[in-house]
Amino acid sequence: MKKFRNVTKKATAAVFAGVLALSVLTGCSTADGGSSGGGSGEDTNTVGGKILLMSNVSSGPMYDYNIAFMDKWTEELGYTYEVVYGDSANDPAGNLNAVKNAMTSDVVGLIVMQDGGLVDIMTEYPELYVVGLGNDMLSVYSDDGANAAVADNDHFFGTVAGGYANGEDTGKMLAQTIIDAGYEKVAVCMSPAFAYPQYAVADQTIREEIAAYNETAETPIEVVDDEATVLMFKPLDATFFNEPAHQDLDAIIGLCAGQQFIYPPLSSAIASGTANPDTKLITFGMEGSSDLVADVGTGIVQQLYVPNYEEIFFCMAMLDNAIQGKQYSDYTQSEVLDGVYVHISSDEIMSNIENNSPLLNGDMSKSIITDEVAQKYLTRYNPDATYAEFREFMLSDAFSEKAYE
Amino acid sequence: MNEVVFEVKHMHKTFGPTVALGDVSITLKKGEIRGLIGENGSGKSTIMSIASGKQKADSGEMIYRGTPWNPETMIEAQKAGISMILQEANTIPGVTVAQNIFAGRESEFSRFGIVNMKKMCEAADVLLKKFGIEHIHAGDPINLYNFEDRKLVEIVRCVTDETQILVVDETTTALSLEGRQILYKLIHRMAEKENKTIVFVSHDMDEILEHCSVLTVLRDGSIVGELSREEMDAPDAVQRIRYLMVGREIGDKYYREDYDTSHQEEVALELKHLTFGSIRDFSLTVHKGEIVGFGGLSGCGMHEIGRAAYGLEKLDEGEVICGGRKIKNPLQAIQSGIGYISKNRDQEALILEASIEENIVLPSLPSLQKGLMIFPKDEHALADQEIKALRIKCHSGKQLVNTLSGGNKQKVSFAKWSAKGSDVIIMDCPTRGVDIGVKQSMYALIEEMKRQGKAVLMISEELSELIGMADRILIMKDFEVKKEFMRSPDLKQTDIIEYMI
Amino acid sequence: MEETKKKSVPLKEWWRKNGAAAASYGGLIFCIILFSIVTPLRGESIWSPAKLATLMSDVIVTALMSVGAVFIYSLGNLDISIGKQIGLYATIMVFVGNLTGSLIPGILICLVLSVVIAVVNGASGPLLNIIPIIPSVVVMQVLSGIITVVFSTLGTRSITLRTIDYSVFKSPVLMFVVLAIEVAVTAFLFNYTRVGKYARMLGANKVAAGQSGVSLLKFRVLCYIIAGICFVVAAVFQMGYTGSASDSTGTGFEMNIMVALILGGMPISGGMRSRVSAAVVGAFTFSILDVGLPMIGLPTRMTFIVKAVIFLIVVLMTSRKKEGTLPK
Repeated sequence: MKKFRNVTKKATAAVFAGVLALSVLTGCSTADGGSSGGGSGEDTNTVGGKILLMSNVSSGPMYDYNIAFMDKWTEELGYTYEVVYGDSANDPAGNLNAVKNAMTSDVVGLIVMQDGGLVDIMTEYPELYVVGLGNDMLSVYSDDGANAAVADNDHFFGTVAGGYANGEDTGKMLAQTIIDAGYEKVAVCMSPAFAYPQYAVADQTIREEIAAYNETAETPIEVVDDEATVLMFKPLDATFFNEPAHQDLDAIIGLCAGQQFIYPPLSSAIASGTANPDTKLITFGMEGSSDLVADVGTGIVQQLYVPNYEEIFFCMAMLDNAIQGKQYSDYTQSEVLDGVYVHISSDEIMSNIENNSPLLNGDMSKSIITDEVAQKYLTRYNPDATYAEFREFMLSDAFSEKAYE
Repeated sequence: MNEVVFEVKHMHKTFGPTVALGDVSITLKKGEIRGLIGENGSGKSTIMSIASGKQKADSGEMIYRGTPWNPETMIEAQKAGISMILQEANTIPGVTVAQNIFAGRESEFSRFGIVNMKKMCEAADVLLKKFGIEHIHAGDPINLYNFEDRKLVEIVRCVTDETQILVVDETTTALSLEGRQILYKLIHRMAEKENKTIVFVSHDMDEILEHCSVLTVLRDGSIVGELSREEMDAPDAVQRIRYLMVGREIGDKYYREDYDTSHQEEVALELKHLTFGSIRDFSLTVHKGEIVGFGGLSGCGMHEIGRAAYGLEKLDEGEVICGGRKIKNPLQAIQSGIGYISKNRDQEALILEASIEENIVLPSLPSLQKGLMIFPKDEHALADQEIKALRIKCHSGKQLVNTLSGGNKQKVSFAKWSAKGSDVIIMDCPTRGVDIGVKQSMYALIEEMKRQGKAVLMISEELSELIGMADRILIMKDFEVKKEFMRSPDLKQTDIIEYMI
Repeated sequence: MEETKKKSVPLKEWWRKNGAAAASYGGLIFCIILFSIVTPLRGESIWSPAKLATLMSDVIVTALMSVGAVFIYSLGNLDISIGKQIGLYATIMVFVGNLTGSLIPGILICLVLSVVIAVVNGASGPLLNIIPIIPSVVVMQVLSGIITVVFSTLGTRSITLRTIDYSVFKSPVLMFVVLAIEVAVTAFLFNYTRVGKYARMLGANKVAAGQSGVSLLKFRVLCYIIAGICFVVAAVFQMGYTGSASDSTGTGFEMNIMVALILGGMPISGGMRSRVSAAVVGAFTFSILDVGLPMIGLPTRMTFIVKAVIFLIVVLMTSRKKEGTLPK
């Protein structure tokens, strides 16, 4: 018996070791293929190298899109790339470690989706070009932020935020949405302010705007509670719907990834009769699962604001210009760019997004970043391109839902 | 009566380089109680563990009831009628006594896959009664019972109506005196009334001589002698068997030979009006150079007295005084010069996964310390000195204790306190599970301690060694001292036993 | 018979004593050789100064912590509050550092705090007669609560040193020197003083050690205090790495320690075969995989799986039936 156990144990160990050896080998060979395919750019005088993408997600539509985009454009432009995963809580040391471990001598650029430890990364690798994605980088652009030193670093090219960088703009947009939809009683839920300070601002702005509206309105709108219900990175508690103040809501504003944190408890509360069956959800972000997609526009999630993932083009353009040594001549100072929302407010728009955009399927043939766009804005193709034009393009409706009609 | 039931022919068994059995042949007959005796490592347990399917022989054949016999498992052997009661504990913890007794036979009590526990308990109670075990109840969880009682449960489980050959492998060392009586009664009934075969493996000469009808002596994996009942009754039988077992003359001297009970006047250890657990107002004074023996059944409270004297029991009242100091925990006891050898050697006295040296020096570390540091060379020196003095069989002090035989392990637990230079030694069952050869040297050691003026508290379940060694013997029963005997050549076991039961 | 026995027993015994150690050293050497050969094929070198510096900064915190944790693990105990301790110490160092302009007061406060935590963790087990993992769970939750309150009061997820120059803590040379000193001191305490000897004895057999005059309470608390001081040293480097602390600093570190110690051949149930070197070997093995695997072209997302599989292989190879009990 003992002998038998020993044999099984050794056999298991051997099998694992075998599987491991195989996976390491295959890992090597695929990576090999990737690098040899990439290096041979079409232009003789272009510079190659590897771009790191420090992601804060490892699955979902945004992740899939980013991979598809990087696959296509790094090959097109003669680079290789690798995804590294930032610390799940944006811890500075964790982020720095992630970059350090992935660092090889050919790395030339870094796209970061979160800002922790940015100043340390850039101190450690002063040659590296860095640009932000889907993040307002408050730690860089607030006066006493931990990474404020980065803002003036000439290797840092700013960031494109996931939607409005300014909470006031977000609040105004949402207040208008409430007024337009004719809701009379709404609640606000949000991710904690210490992680997302702009949401607290947005929450207060909503309340101020609605109060201003109520002064002249025939039917005043009630925003329940004094401030938003805070979700500590977990779904809304079901007891929310039992409180007297939360009965008969027309809508819940979710200043968070609402399909993840509010939709499940809300739909079960509706099913069990504790919530008004007509309660709608207005929130941010997009989940890829088919029932959630089907729901948007007609079901519980009436309106969805999705920062357009395609704005990763900003990062690619800024990095490529810099790596090729041809940064826009009129570019002087890094900044936060507002992200453009894809505003999904009907079933029709949702099917447009489903069918005509790469946002849910990573199909780059449907991308608005066409070869013409690249020809126009990358200085390697168009030496006369300017930052002003590029900036205007990035902020334009070209990235809104209208682009996929 | 003389019908052969089991035969072993030319059996070989090796464990790595160690030859456990070399060409052993033995024949068992119906109705006999066959003793197998030998020192540790002589192969006496190995033969029957092969016969009962616990392990396999390298070569040789076995014939059971006229057909070749090669059991794959102990369960197969038990079903065919060869049952073995093992040395080590073998009950299933966390279930009831009844479930232990009928482990693997639940189907006898089940209908539609559901076991009828009530029926099982009733059957188990009947069975326990049949074995004369009144104090164990089938419905109780097994964990309620101590090691000794669990052993009895195992016996009940092993022995069934189908049992033809019962192997009792060093079981009695794990049993209380009552338990032993139950076992002895059982084997005599089986052999004499039911014409079954009993194989009694032991190294306790007294019980072998008392109960066996024929005795086989083994040494180093070979049979070196076979004694009939008549030969066992011969006056020189003990010397002869000892000679066969050890393979050399060990001399006549075994126990102390003097009957001088004098000791120094100075008090070494004083227990004053101890009240704790079931013990009420117990007092005792031990002088330097005195050996005080404690005898009794295992539940009589004598083990607790030993523990209390070492500061291991929380006292409700009274105090233990040694060297003018109150003893409340083992550390104070050690500092006052007390040493304690637990009866649970492998669990409490020794750290099995540590080396001989580490065990020996453990209580002496505070005195070996120079500044903060303990120099390895000091540890070696101390350990080597004790290894030499006690003749511990090992290739070096670095050898792990769990590779040693029982006797050598016990020497290590003695060595801890001789290394420390303790003046009072409390020894609880000091020769439990130890060979004759080692026993002899332990007795010599204890005698030497007396001569050096050390006080010895000797707690033992073996009356013969108390009679042989102690200056005075306290017999305990129901947590009280029932009788005190002084050392005398006329003292007999039979005089004492009546105060124990 | 006696002759053959004598010859083969020492070899067998040597393996029994040192098998796990040999296996874990072998693993580390294997990794070093593998990466030394394979990485140059891909135009990198694990021996480049930059990579060695990366390796050092990757390993330092885990190594410093694990060396201290040897004292806890050898008792057969498990402390799952270590990660949160590091988090709290780092937070205090940054916070007090910004207040006073010096790191020293913060470090002193942390040392005092580490002793308090050690006493709670170490003494409550024997005093209240509960298995030691329970107080460490409570301590973890309390510390976790404190950290959450601190950061939500500050209204941020991370705080950074403002005026103090912390670049010295990024020096691989300093890291190496501090690690070497810590290993030397702890190895001395572990092998040549009563604390270490008793820790192993208590881990191997509490009852027998107690009957030989070892005070469980006193020496367990001492072991936790030694470990706690090592954790403060580790926290200095954790904090010094980015000059910052966040509400997630230290999260999961106790698991890194467990993995490092097991990879290093530490018996999970403590006892006589515990070694300080297990911490160093294990931490380096783990970090060299961290640094080396991406260099041989393994995608980052695969490294977790590969490390998990290697961990499993080591556990299967070194575990023995008897020692299969989990620490408490």
